[in-house]
Amino acid sequence: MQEKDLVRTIEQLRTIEPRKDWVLSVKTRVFAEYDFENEKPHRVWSFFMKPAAVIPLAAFAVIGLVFYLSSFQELQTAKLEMNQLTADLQEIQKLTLSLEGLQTDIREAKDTLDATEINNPKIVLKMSEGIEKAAMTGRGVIEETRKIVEAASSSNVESEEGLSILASITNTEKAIEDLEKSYQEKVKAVLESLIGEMDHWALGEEDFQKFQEAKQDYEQGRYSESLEKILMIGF
Amino acid sequence: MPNLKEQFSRIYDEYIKKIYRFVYLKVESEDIAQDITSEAFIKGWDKFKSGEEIKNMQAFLFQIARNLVIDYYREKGRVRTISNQELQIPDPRMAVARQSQISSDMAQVKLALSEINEDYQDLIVLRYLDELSIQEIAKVVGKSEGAVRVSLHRGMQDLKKRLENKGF
Repeated sequence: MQEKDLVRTIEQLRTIEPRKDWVLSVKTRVFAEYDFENEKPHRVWSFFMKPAAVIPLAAFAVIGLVFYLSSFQELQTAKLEMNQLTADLQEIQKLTLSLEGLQTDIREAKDTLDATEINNPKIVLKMSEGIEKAAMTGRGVIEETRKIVEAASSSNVESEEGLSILASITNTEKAIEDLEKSYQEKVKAVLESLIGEMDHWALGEEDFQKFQEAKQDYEQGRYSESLEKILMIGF
Repeated sequence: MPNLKEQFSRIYDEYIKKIYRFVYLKVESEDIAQDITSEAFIKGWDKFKSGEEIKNMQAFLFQIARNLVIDYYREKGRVRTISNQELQIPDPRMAVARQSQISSDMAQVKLALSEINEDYQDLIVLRYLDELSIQEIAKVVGKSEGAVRVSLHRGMQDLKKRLENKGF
């Protein structure tokens, strides 16, 4: 073997590449803290930007994970398209595994979210987009999977594999609901603290009006809308 | 300094694949390679945004990644085990038979690399896969350029012998 052959052989390893969705999610994670640090807080929010309200790192982990879930769609769609026409038992098994993977990711996002103390309302609001997208992606995958299962022969659906994928669909739906619920709980907790604090503030007429509307939204369970209105106060 | 993020973003795009590959060839799983690579970039970004002078970004990132791999094995007293599983090639246009042949060759090359002295392995990967200059490699591994040249030559001889034994 000549040296040039050896070099050519080694160069074959250049085809090793990381997954694209992972590359994107890491980039988001690397810059997440910096982005938040560099958002200039409005004077009204300076109270919440005190060191005691410093964003814990786990918040960025949640954002990274949710971002990853959001980018899951492309991979899943491709996989589903491939399997759509011939949903035999083996493919149903593969789909079940994919669903279980998605389910685990969603549950991990929820656990991290639950364990994270987030006091900064801007971060909570930013996370909403990611959570909504992740939930939408998850539901999209479930819908496609359901179509495939429905198109499969009845004997396949009634088989052990068929029953297993149906259970997986239900569990994934539940995981998405739990994630959304957890997020709503976070928003609610942040709002409670904000409203409690702001009740003592001397607000101008316009801001006072916004605050009242935000309180109304909060009382009626429209937490994201309430938070958005509160963040508009002072502008 | 508003351009810092933009600058490091370009650096990230340029080196993420190289650093990942470098780490992947040294650890036993994709998950571990991902964890170590992401940590390397987080550390790199921390240093970069602190404003400290970094003379050679490529060498700097490889050095962080290399140290993290060393820490990884040192921390839990792990023993290096590189699997002989076939590697995934991301080019779908390639004919299946050809793809399978290359994939199998790649697994053999990866295995042969893992069998040689770890320092030699680093040098070969840095030189022939990542195309670092001898000067840059010397910085990454903390050796003189002369020592790098000698070790690289020995490493190539060793790898050649092992590949020939595997039928290359």
